[in-house]
Amino acid sequence: MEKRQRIFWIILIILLVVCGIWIVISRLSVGEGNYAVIKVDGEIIRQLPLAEDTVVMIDGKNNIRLKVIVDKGSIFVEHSDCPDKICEQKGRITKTNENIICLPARTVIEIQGTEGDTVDVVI
Amino acid sequence: MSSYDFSKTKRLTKISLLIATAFILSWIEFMVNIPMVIPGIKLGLANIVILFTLCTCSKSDAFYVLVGRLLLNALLFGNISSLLYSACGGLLSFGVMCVAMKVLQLKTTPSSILGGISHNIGQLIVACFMMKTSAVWVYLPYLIIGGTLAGMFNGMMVKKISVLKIFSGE
Repeated sequence: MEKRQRIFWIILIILLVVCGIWIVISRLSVGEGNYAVIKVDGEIIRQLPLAEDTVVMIDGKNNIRLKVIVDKGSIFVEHSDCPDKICEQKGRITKTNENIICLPARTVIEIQGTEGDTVDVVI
Repeated sequence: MSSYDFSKTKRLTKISLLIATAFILSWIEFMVNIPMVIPGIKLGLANIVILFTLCTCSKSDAFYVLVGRLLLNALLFGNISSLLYSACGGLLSFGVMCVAMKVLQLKTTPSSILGGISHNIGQLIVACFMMKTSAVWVYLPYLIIGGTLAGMFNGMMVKKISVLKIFSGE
């Protein structure tokens, strides 16, 4: 009984350390992003260069519209019709591997280093 | 009169009471937006009730409480997709907590931690399928740490409440 509890805590500590290392590595491996890719329901609907300041309206799933702003090399969701507003709270993202996810609208905004050459731009 | 079996009525009342408690805790969490480091992370206070039921009553009682809470939540402040998220997380966490407690015979807090982590993983799996992207897995390490902390808190609460022996007079 006691031994099992101890094994549990040891495994948990190892898991937490691994997570910590994972977070550090993912923080360190980010680079400067040039493009923001906006996906709705897994499909790329917009690719925006971060160098150009723009405001775009994205029609997400479930009739949720998102107001996405590109400003000074960063991208953020200024307004979303969804109830939980987690995408708004996430704030600005600038680096690669960073993303903003709106679950109700099934919308993902990802930052990439260069424009994806395997995907077509659909506007 | 005295031959009437009250045990079923007692059980029904007990489960209803627990569902109501779990629901109120979810509602409080929904209304009072407790500020967290990572946006969207919640304590999962309703899991206190599920874990408490699992500790003091039986597996099937806990399961009914869980299903009741999920349906009530979805009806009152959710929709089909939020039900899918909470059901996947809730059922996975329930399964893991059952195994942790009854099979591995872990104590309350360790079971609660495993429940918290598996709840988050369950929701990530749904998110992965719904959003059709693997980008959500970036959040896994944060969610494991968050689940551990929330599970620790909930486990300690259950330990405190269990001493009261609320349902010991059956």
